[in-house]
Amino acid sequence: MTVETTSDSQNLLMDVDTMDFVMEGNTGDTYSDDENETFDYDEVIDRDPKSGAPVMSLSKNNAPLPTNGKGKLKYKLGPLSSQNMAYLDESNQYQLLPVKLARVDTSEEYVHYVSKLFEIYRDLGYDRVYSVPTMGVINTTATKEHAAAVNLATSALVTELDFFIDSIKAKKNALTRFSELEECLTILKCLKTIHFTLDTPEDVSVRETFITNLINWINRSDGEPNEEYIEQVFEPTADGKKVFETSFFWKLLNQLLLRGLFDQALGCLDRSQIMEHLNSQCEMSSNALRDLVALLKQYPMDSTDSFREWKSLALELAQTYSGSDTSVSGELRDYIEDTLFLVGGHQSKILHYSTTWYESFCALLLYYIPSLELSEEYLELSLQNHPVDVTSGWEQACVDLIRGRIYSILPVLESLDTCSAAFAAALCEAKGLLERIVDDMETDRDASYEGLEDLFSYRNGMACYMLNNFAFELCSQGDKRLWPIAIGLITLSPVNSTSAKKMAIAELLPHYPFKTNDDIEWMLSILAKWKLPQVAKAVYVTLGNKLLYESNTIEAMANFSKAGKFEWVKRYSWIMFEAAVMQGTPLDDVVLNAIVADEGDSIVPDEILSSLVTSAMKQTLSPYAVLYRFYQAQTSNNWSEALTLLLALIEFPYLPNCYLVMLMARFMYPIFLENDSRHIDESTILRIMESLENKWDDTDAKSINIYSTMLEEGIIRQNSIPPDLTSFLKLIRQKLNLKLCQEFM
Amino acid sequence: MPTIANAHNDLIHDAVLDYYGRRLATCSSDKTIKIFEVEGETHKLVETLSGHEGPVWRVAWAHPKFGTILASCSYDGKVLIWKEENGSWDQIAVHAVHSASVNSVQWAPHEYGALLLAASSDGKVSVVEFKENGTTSPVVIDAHAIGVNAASWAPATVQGDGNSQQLRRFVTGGADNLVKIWKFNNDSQTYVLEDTLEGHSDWVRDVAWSPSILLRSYIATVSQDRTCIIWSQENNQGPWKKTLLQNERFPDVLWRASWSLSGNILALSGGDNKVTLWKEDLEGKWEPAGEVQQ
Repeated sequence: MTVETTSDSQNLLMDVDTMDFVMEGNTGDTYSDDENETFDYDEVIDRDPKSGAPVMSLSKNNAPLPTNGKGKLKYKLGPLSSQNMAYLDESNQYQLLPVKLARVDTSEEYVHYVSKLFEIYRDLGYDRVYSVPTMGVINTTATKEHAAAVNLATSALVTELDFFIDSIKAKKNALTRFSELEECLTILKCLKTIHFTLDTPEDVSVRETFITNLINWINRSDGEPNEEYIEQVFEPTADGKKVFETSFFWKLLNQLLLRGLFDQALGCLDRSQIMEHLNSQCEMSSNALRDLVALLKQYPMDSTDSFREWKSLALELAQTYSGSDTSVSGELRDYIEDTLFLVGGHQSKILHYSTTWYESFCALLLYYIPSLELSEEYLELSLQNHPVDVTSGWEQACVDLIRGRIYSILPVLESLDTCSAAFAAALCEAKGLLERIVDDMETDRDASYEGLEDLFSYRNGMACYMLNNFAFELCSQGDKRLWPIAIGLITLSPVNSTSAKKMAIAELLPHYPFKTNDDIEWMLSILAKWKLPQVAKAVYVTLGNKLLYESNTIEAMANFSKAGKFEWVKRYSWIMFEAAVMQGTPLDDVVLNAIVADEGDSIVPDEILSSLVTSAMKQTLSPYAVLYRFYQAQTSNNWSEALTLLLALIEFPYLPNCYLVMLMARFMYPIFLENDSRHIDESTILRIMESLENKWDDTDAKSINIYSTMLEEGIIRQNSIPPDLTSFLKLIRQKLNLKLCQEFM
Repeated sequence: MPTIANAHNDLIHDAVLDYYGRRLATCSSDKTIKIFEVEGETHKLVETLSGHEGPVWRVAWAHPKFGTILASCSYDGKVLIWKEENGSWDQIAVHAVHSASVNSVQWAPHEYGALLLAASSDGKVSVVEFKENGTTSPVVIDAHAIGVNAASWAPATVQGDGNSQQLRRFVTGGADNLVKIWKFNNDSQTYVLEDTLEGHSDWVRDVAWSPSILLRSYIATVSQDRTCIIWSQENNQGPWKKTLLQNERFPDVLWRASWSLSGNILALSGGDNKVTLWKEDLEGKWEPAGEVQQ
């Protein structure tokens, strides 16, 4: 069906909920201000005639791309379905063409729809799986409860799709998407009616639900008869005939009756003023029509028993009228008689007045014998008289559904909407409508496949394949709101192999487009739940690198530490230590200084610090902590404390050799040695000498490099310090000897 | 359809999105590499990298756990490694072991470390490891006598015989019309030829090994002979099964093959200026999933 979305065409729509034609100003549509809506639903320009695959155009909205002889279009799929790149490897063609995969819906409404369907499926719980019924009272009850749960879920799915369509029908560029979803809805409504209604246990209104669903499906499918046609029927005729004297009127009336549109049929009778005419012309016909109106007003929805009574009355009415004399014209009498027989369930009248197979099918269920056991018979009868319209995608799918061929509709649904298709397949499987095809395919496969576990294995069944495929599709949309659904689907999908699920999550989850700490927490919680420590480590390293790029060194180190990259933690600790020595003050890093400051001094709450700092960091940051306290002692002129702390650093067994040079040149010499009057006790001098003996290396490239950098950048004074390390060591020794002499003097 | 106009001043040869799809790297005959930041449909040029002395054929992003690192290969026979730090890009390494154009470059699965695969017209492929201490250890192998057009790593897997040893493999496609599978030998510390796959009758233009989410992983090879072959191997061992993607030849040369992240969609681009997308159905048959045309 193709339904226009413009306001002019709204009046062609039928409001199937109220079984009325949509009146102007009563559409319920709210035309949202979608000026800022950038999502283009209609990127597909065509369908490949052979395969039916969607065709997209690179030149849509652009000038056509000229080609110089041989085409050299190149294309690369990206990690996101919305981010793929095409370009022409040709001269004078230097543009890049970002291409979305066809039919990827990134709208807010779609995200909402997907979430709702996932909730429905998740809430099914154990009823997601179909178990073959066995004998026994308890099992019979369980089977009934299972059917009720799955039927309810299917009904909810159809309702959500209805809401989704409603939310996008007023959007620009949504015509294709809209019509595809409408087609999908028609198929699902048929599925619900035929396979997910009548076996609902303990539902007193099950017949009413079935009839309502049936009428709803038929009428939503094509929106016929449309209002324009009705108006044409009621237009005055050129030959002065009254409307009820024309065949068009009776065709319309019968069409409405075939489709179960009782209120509209009654409305037509009323509007035609036939009753007023017959009251004065023919009492018999007038009574018959009055009885028909009364019957239509009381069409029995509640039970088959009351239907039998109703049908017997309808048949009696038709037969009585048929055998009576009337004083209306022969033509009018025939019309009335046909309508009475139609309502009485006369097959030939039903088939005669139907214009499509589904009108006949609906009418046979409404007026002949309302039993699904006869549905295939009704279908064949209907198709013999009104074949399937091959240009309409949903008609063949609905025929297949009525014939019980569920498998064949799944590719059709998938071509219309992967989300609806996946969940519909899952519900069909939960209902036991999809038989596993393993046995059929087993012999065709290589025996070596035995033992392999794969999320997409044919062994898991079609529903599982479609659910997992859909989950992967969600992960490639770059929308983090869809990720929990995707992971949830993989988790819930009826695959027996935990390792296959684990492998898929391990591959997919690192691609999660995290932004906030909550996102990261979620991602790590999933990895923890699935016991994937190696993946978590890779995620920590990625996070660490990202934080490092944002100059958030401490948090980066925390992540490296959690990833077990202790060498990296050590490296960055020393880098910070070096930077702090070079600049002569603690680093301007609130978090770092809070870590090394005494408890209570910090402006960062202790609990945050304790959750951030790992034990590895505590160890590797200890030299910086000593340096920090050295600066504090220096600021408060506590020179003895400062010297003690500096000595602790120099004697630190894991201090890299180059940093001994740095500490001596930056602090020890200018603060404590250069000034001859500053007192240093004997043991301290000896300890300094010992450190020099153990660690000083004039030939060490890093030591030479760091010393020359300090000189070049003026970090140490060139006029008081020699240009090379060897001379500097001599100078230090001289000063230390002098200090030692002063101790003994 | 949005476009990025005049991205380069000469032929564009590659356009690759990073791991998260947030950055785009492109390269060109103008000898430059351009980096774009991607936000929705907006592509903002943030850097132009110059360093190659010839057309730049391909670019490859490293896994983000190694930082923001990009490799590029060029007609000048070099592979350059670029790194972004604090918002600025620097060339951090040069890999110059090839004597002719380097046609393809790809980083290994991150589980193997910072390992780069390069394929060259000199007939060789090289695998170079960038170690954490800053040193490199290149392995150079004679692969295809007339020249190697493309190379692609296998996803990270372990050997199925229970010894849980990494099965480090890659595939190469050459101007000798052959496809070759190479496997790392722990004893010799080099890559040895595991299989030679014959099926194409003209130059193999591109090879792409599907990602690892599915155990049934595949290699797609496209050729000047207008065919695409899907090679599959059960359980990472045994013979390779050859399946033509479609029985009739494509209308023109096939230039490129690429897999989606999850390995369930294959994209082919060809000389008819059409891109065709393919999906495997439940029965293992490949069916068209879409088309992008001019």
